[in-house]
Amino acid sequence: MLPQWYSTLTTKPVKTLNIANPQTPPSFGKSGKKIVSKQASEHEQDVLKVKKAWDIALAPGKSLPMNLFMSYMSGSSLQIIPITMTAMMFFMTPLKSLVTCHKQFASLISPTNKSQILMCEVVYVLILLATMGAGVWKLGQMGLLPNTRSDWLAWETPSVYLEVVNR
Amino acid sequence: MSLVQSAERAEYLNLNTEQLKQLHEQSTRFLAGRHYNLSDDDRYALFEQHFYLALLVGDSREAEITYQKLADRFGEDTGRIGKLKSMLIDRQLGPKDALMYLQGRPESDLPCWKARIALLRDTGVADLYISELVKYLEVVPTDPEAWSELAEAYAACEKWGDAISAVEEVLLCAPLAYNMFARLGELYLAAGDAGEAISHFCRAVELCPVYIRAWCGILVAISKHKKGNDKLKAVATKQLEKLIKEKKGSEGDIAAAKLILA
Repeated sequence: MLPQWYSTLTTKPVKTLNIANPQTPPSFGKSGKKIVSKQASEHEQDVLKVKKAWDIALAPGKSLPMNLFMSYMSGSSLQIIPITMTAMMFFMTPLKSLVTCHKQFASLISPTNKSQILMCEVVYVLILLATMGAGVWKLGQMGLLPNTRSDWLAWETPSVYLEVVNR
Repeated sequence: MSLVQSAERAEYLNLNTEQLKQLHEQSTRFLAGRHYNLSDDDRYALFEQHFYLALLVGDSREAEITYQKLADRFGEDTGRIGKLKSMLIDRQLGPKDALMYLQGRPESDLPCWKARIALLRDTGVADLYISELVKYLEVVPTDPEAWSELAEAYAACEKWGDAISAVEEVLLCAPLAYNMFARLGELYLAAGDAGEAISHFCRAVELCPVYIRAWCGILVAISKHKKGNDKLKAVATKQLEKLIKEKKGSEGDIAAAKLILA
């Protein structure tokens, strides 16, 4: 038996459905509109970059209150969890950020916004230092700072007694 | 043929009567057993296949029993089950009742909507059929089956431009469907643009070099083209003769190729 495509190819098409004007298929005949996005100007890009730089600069400041609250709630007892928490939150993370500080802002610097970005960098460093300051406070709370007289006993001069009573 | 594989690929739709009977028997025998080692997915896929097989061999009683098993498990609210029910009604009471049943289903039930559209075609309201298909495709624009139905409907009323655009939508969903490229070529040929037709037939044989239908299309399109293309004609003739000699393709296809070459 011959397949249907053979008759389609060799005979003239026959109208089997008689509809004068059937509905056209969805999206038929509508040419798509090309959307051209406006190229951002140099100035607009600078504004965006400075905004982004401020976002980066203020990011560690946002987590500071939370960190402070957590360290307040974890108490001042000397246990492994509070100690590692303090070390990680207040010293390791800010130190890492300090080391990579310039790298974070490098991609945002352009000749025209250099001073503004530098300002952001300074604020960023200040916030990191404040975080580490909070860490020092926490260490003080835990009694890990050698800031009392008893911490330096080796340098104490022994008392000299003028008179000794022997029994 | 394994039952599960046939259920997965819907192979039962392409079988001849003898094979169909055989598969039905096999399915009946298997499902009467315990089949504990099947996963739930496979088991119910087999039941669904058995339902279709029972309908195909004309045993509506058995189809009803199988349907009941599926409905007990999944409930009648599911679209897939609703479609089965409509087919059962179609067989037992006729298409009018099936249409009534499908109209009672909620609008969000897409399989039933599609089944309803198919019934519209069979009951002969062609105008409504096309507009319902268009409405369906507004909701589900990624259904190649529906797009190709729409294309055939347009082709049947000789709206070649619309049909071509619908087939192009099918190709957006399935860009490697060589049979659709051949169909596109045939539509262009019917519309009278032999040049475009040749290029689409060529794409079809590029995707499937043993596709007799597209090779024949190339030959017919060249004969209708003003300029002609002797080189391409020679290639197509050579390839077709090779395919006929090696008997690559169904009997019908090979017979048609012989007629085209003659």
